[in-house]
Amino acid sequence: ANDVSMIKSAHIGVGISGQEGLQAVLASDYSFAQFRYLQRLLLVHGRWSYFRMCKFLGYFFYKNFAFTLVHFWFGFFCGFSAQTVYDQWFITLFNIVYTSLPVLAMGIFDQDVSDQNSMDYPQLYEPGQLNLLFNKRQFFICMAHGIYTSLALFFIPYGAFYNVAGEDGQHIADYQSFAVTMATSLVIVVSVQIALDTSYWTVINHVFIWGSIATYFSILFTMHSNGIFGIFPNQFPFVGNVRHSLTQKCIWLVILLTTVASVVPVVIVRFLKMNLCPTLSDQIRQRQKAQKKARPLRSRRPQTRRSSSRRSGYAFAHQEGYGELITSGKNMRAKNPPLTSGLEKTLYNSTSWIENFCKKTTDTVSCFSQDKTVKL
Amino acid sequence: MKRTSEESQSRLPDNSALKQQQLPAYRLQLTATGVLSGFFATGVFCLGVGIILILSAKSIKEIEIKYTKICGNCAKLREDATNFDKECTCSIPFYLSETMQGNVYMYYKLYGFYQNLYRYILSRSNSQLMGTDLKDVGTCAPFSKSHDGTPIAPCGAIANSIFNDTIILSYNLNSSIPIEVPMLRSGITWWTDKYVKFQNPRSKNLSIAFAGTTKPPSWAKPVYELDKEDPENNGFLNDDFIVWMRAAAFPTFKKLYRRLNRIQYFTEGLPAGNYSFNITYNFPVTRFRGEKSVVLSTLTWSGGSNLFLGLAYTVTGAVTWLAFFSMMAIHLMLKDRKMFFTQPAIKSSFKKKSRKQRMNSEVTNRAKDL
Repeated sequence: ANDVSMIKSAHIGVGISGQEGLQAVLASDYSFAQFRYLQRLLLVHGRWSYFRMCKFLGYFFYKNFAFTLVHFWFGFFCGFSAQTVYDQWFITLFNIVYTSLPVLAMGIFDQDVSDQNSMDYPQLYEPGQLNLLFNKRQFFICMAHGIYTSLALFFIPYGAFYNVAGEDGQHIADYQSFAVTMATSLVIVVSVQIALDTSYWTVINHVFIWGSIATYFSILFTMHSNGIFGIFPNQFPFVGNVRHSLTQKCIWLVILLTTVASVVPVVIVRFLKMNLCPTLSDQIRQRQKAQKKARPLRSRRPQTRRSSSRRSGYAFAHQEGYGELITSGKNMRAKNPPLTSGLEKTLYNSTSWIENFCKKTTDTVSCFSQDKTVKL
Repeated sequence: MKRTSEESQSRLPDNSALKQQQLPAYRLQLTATGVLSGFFATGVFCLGVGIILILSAKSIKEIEIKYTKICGNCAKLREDATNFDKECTCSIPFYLSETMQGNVYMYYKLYGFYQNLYRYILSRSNSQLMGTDLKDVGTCAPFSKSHDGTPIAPCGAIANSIFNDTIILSYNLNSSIPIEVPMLRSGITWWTDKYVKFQNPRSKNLSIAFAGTTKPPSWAKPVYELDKEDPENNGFLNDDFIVWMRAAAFPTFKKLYRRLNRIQYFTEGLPAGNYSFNITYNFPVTRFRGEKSVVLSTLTWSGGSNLFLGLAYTVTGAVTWLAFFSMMAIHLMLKDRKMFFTQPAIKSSFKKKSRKQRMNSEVTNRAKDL
């Protein structure tokens, strides 16, 4: 009972349901049955949650800065009359339909390193403790990125449309064509950005990202069609726009240039950061990728889900017997190839169970010194 | 332990790939080969496109003549609105040094005219322009109804401010009598504008169809007299009217006025020689310090004569290539450096647990109840 106040005042309270009653469990944010589950809760789920939340926030601020600041630049050219650059329907649907699902998928499924590696390297938990992934500095970086993108999004079409006519001489620099060009380039730029941000591409991510772009184009075609203009002429005044604008080559060149100009600096910065000052997470990811290439590709299904061992029975014996053989999983997993770096060899328990057995006593001494660097 | 596994049976999450966060996935990583080859390809593409665009923009011939102030004293005359019934014309000669080959288009260009103002863009009625409901002028403030309450057709500020200068191009053949260059008035609008968005009210006689409405205050003629010769170009279907109603995006814009009719002496385009513009000056721009000009230009596949897109592509391609070379240099310098893994994994410390503890933890670790 005295734990309840402690749990309530914590940022995240964790209760263990057990023989002392359920009061702690009812007051806590998370509860489980055994204390050792805390390790997985913190190192895997807690860390992933922080990582996903920070990425989600960063992307969300960036997307909305890019979307909104365009109106600031347009103000200089429209007499500061608060004319929107985009179609009214686009403004309504942008945050709800066109860009909400990809970032949601990223916020649910993204993983920087696998769960096993998260448990093996608890140092990865440090960025969460030190508030490194989303603080004032990161927010200003997002804002700067959004400002730069809005500059590219506005001034490239502005310059391209300044004194031009279409391929057949007709009007191309009208307000509606400009709105369609800006809206299309915005959707494509933010979609490419989320594609770069998502580091764990499941089927759902693919469906959401490409589906959002497809949804944008299908809604665009619908809203600019003759039929709907016939029914609601005052609500859908953009009739014929898509047919005229998106069939002009120079508009697609403008959209492509805007995308390249917005995305190239991001890729440069990330690539250089990864090469010059890689974080622990980057290093582990590179090793993961190298391991995956080295390991022969087998059907991973029974392994990843571990369905067979999930609800297996427990066996107890008085003597050791073959318990070591079974629990090391040697007969279930493929043997990892020996790695070249001497340091890495000790990090992997890829040696046979017999060597494990022999090393136990000798390793206890050497491990004590390493243990001090572990923080939980 | 058996008891807890039974108790937590009911709250066990599904052992599906989705719930256990083990969906098959591709881990995206910025590898050196991927990034560098992408940058190289992008750089090549952008440079190529940029050079092509610059070359095509340079091959366009364009001539622009600003006639705001040089047209006699028309500018001063039009500053006073009471002079609306006084006609003011002028003739501006110019010389074409080279033949303009191919299709030639004549535009009028305005500077400082903000067709993208918020209230200006709102001030129109699409249902009226579609011909279905002539009396629907609700959104056309402040030009919706006249003094006596009759609805204006076409209503709104956009329609009221239509560009009403007449520009006629004439050619001095053999420096004798100038001949008028034949120009086409049709085919200057978007197809959807002419056939879907703008429709006349259904009636045999347009003046009867527009009964009960009045002309906008700044217009000289009512809408059904815009082009009496051609019924396809009269009423709301008038091409100049439709072109004007398509609001421009920026304060400096040009709108298509006429196309060259390639007959008689002009089958190849506009030959070099002496020309002149005969302008009936009606549209006042000096009061808001704007300017107007007339533009003759040819076209290519990429549209008008704007160098910006070509330059922007070339610059982007060059920057991408520069980035490619520097990133490749950095990558090659760093490749030889061994990736020293300074942080040890905690796996090795598992071994110090007792045999029994380890056995239990490994079995239940695999269960992964969370």
